[in-house]
Amino acid sequence: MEINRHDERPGVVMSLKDKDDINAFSRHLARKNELKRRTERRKKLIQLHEDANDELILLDDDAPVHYNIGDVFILDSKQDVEHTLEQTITELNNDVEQFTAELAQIEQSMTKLKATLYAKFGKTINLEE
Amino acid sequence: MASNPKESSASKAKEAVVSIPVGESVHHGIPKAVFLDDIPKVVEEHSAPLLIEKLSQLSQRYRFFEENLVKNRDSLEEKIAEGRRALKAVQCLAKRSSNSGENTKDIETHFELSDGIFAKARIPATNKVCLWLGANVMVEYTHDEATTLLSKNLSNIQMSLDETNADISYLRDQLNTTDVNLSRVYNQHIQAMRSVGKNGRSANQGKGTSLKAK
Repeated sequence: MEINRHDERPGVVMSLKDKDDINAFSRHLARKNELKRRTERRKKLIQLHEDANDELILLDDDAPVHYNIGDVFILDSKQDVEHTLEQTITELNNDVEQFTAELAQIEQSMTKLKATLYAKFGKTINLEE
Repeated sequence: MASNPKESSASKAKEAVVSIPVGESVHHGIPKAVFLDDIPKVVEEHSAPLLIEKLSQLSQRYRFFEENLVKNRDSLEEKIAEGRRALKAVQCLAKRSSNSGENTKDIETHFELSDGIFAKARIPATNKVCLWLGANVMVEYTHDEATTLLSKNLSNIQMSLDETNADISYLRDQLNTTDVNLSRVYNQHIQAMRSVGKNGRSANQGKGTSLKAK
């Protein structure tokens, strides 16, 4: 996002409100990127946990499983580990849902700001990511 | 004769520009950037190159500050992840130990002895856990106490993380404001130069027509 140099439209004067809009846009953009990053990370974790869950199914029912907590692997029963995994996956999914909702909201206000700013400044302002 | 007022206006410009960033409100040590409303007037009062130099310096200072804050945020996020792991471990220990009665079993674990080397350990059911508080101090707590302490630490870190995030977005606002100012001063300067080129001798006149016509 930037303001192009050299060819500011003569006659177009930037007001305090325009500046505030630009700031708001930039803040939204930063938050959007952060949310995207976080969603990616969660999704990766969900994939890993689901893979682990799939592997568990292949095991005997009474086989003990090592589950990693912090720096330690704890020997646990298969049912307990399955339960823990599923719980973690639910938590992660909740996070993803929350992020997606916020993302949609942000994108909406970004579109609005984009329309306003482009209408006024045209090609002299670049709001692409 | 002409050099005298020029000099005084230049030194005035310096003062004025230096005072631009230090708006009256300071947020956590971050000075507020002031939006320059009437660019033609500001450029007319101070020389454009001087303004550009000062504003870029300010912009760089903000950027430097931002870098520090982002580093700060990253380390706080790491601390939160660490805290969550610790809390999870204590909760797991507590859960496994509270299966009291006859079926209390030792907890079998493999713990990391060194990088990539794991050793087997058996933890007998216990209601105590030791927390490393830092500064070479380790204190024994009951599980409940440990959970409370760790949760409290976690929420404290979360609070300073929130604060840092707020600081970062405040800072980015100031940075943007400054960059917008910078671009506009620059554009104004370019246009003034162009009209000097076009109109030759009557630079002031050109400036007046192309810019004050709104």
